[in-house]
Amino acid sequence: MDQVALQISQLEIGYGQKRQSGVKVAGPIDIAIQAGELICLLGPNGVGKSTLLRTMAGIQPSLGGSIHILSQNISEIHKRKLARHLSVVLTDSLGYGNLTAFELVSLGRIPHTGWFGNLGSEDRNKIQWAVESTGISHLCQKSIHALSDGERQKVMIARALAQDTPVILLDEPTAHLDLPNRIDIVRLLRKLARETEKAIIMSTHELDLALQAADKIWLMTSENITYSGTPEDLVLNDTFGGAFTREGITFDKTHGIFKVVEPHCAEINLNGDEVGIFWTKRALERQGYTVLCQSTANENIAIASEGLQWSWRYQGRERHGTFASIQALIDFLKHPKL
Amino acid sequence: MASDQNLFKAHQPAKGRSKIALISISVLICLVLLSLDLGLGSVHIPPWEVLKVLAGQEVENKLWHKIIFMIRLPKALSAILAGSALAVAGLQMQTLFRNPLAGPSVLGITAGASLGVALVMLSGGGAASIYAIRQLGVGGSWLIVLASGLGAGLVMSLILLISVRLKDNISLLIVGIMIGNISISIVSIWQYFSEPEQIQDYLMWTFGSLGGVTSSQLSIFSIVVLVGLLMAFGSSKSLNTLLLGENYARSLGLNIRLTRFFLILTTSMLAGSVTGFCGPIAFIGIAVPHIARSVLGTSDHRVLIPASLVMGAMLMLACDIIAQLPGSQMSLPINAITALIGSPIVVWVIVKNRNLRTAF
Repeated sequence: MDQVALQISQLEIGYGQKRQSGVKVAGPIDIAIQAGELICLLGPNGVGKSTLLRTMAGIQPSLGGSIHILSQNISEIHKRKLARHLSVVLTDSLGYGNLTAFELVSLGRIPHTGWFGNLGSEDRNKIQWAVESTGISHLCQKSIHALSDGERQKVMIARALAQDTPVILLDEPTAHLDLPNRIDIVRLLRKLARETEKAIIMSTHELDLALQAADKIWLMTSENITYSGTPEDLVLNDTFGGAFTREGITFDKTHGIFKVVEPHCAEINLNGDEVGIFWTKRALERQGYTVLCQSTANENIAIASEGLQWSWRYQGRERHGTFASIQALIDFLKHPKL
Repeated sequence: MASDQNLFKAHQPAKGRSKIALISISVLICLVLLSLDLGLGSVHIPPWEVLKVLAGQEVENKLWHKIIFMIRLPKALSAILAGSALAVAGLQMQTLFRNPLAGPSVLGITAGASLGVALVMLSGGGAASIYAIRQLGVGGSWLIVLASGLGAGLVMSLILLISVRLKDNISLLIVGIMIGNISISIVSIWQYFSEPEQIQDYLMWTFGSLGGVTSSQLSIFSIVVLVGLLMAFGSSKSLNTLLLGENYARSLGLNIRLTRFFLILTTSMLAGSVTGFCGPIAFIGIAVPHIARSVLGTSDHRVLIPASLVMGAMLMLACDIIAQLPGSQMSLPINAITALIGSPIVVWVIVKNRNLRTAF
């Protein structure tokens, strides 16, 4: 478990061939990844996440520093050998080709096959395993153009798995996917890291998913990886909030989510059961109220429920009313004259 | 592991068998077309007599033997060589540039060959060349072959030189098209200042001709094409890797620049030799890879290269038969026929598959 899969030392990334003439995007970066870890690379757009991943994958030359994969410097090992150590899932569109999903996964075996690319029995086993672990058996015969975005992403992950490498890099694998698919992909990667002892690094903008699933988060801000650590530590010491907070956005440490609107209305007190309070609070906070619980404020809301029948009883200084939905409650609060 | 076996049974052998069957059928059609092609012409020879001649048996008409071995067989073999070479070259270019409209001529190699030929035919003191052309027919002279070979080689060297400096394939595509345009415009300027007879000779060459290849030229033609086809077959795995795009191909350990160099070299050999010996022949290189992909329903180059090879030969033989205008004494320029047959086929493939993106 303590084996270092990838070691980055004094790495400078950017465009161009040399340190002097190249355009530096980020660096110098020093960081290491253990086998069996799922790492989420977070950071604002344009900070160099994709460039870092491409440089680590050997697709793009670095401006300086070194990357060691399983104690070998990637600039010194042959590209074909590197392809047996490291696989990628990129944001590149596949464009042309009427490949079936199965043929696409099979292409992952290219670094392992002979000059003509014929599959041996070990190749077949690995493809089979990749297909089953990603749960895409039912998609195998379909053309990749007939797949949904989520299905295609799983096929691309299966292709990377078939490549059978100790390190997998994924560039925004959850972009353009709906919530169930995003959760599916992250859960899959989580499972793979744990079961196969692979080191998996994914860049993402899904902060909530990253907080839940990642073993470690790399926070990339202003041209470097400023922080790396367990998500919870980053939340508790305010690093996480600090990195993403802008005007109008605040990080709620209690719930681990970002809030869009800062409070600007009066304080309001909620009473009732836990679930009712949670959702009512969200709705009221979106309207700009500061919500307190079990305390004394000038305005009170009591939530009552009978099965799925909810009711909200509002008691203010001047008015009061009972409502059957949050919508009705909010409408009332928004229009005090009515 | 039982499910393992099932998965592979479901995905591999059945499809593999049908592909082999389809290619075998194409080979058979090719042979039928070959015997038809040998029989047709200004002197009609029945197909079974053609087979007899080929089998080395005695036939009633001694002249038929001579016609078949001296004229029609070299021509039919040229058609087979040209068709398969252009089809495979086109397939390579379409995959390298990930562009369904790419063909063997996109690198400007055909235009370079035309430039070489134009320089010989249109040069003021070209008495020798004119004499040679008149003697052997358009496309039949070693001088023309040499000139077009040099022209194609010059453009190829230029493209290879530039390809080493370029990072991505699309830039290379644009550079190739531009170099082709430069060659064509030089030819136009030259034509503008040339005598009408010289221009006519050059125009005759641009019509293309399968009949001008002599037996001695045929041996060199076939060696170049066979080596080129073998090289193409050897690059099947690289071509399959390129299906994923350049970044994925790099991540799979493919050396993009080396692969590109090798593919340009192969395409130049195939397309350059065809242009040299037969003149420019359009559309086979674009149409055949689409037919092969559409018929076989695969993008695997280990299947597509042999399939394009056979189908290219098949289509070229068919074009040659049509160009004979069966039942008449006339024959039409082959370059016009290939475009006439090739374009509707491309349209058919697009309509059948709704769009090229999925067909490609």
